[in-house]
Amino acid sequence: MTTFSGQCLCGAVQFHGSGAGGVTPCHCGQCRRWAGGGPFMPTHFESGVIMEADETLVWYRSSDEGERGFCNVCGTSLFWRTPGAGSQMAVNVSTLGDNHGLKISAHVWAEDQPGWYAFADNAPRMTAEDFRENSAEVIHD
Amino acid sequence: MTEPVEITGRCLCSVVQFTAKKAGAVDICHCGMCRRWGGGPGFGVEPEGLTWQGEENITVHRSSDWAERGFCKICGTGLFYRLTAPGVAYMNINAFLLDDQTALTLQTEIFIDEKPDLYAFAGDRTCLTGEEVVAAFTQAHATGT
Repeated sequence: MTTFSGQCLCGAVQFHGSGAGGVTPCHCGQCRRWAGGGPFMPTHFESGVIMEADETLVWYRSSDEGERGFCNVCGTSLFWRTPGAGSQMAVNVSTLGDNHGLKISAHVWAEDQPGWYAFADNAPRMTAEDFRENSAEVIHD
Repeated sequence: MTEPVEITGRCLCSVVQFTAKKAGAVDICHCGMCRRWGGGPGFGVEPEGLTWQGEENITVHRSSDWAERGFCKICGTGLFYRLTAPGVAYMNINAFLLDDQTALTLQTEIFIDEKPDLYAFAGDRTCLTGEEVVAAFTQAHATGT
């Protein structure tokens, strides 16, 4: 399996992981608001995220279901995970650079997407409910 | 006489909020820095008459020689991108901070030359390369428009 390395804008948070799955842009209101303007586009590593440098990584508990990790120096939106999930987390795909070769496997929380923008790909659009039922298949595509 | 509608918005945790007179149309930025910072291309609007509340919760990071990015230090919400050159007053804010996003429209895609093949937006609109954006901005500021 290919290992991917990632880092935030300022380089203070560095990590790697392998077994990267499909990218699942999330259109929910929380992700759009959090992610510097724009749907948050994550991948997941089968290996989980292995941190190399994480002193500036902080977590915000954004809901009952999730917490969001960001660098407190540069503000890069890095990770989303279920509280208690340890190293299993959704990883901002753009922190891996541009040569990862990953593809969008599904758009999720599609029912929350405002009507004034649309992505051009044909990947499935899944509601929150669809995704919760089928997440394992979608993220490890 | 109708009062102008006030635009309001906030970060995820609501410690940072703002009011503005006008939000403007959305420009999408595909540059590598915006994408790394936010997790996807940046959706920005240029507000008019913006006032922040809870500004003490904003961390500002000098992300390049020419710009800085502000975010909420509690929840990490990306708030704004601002040019730092003296005499230049350009800032855009995260379009999804707005409490009411129903009236937003997509205007332009910029730094289209940095967009990866991973995604694309449907529909036709003006798309500018990084070079074209910088040239247009420099021109606008040189002539004072």
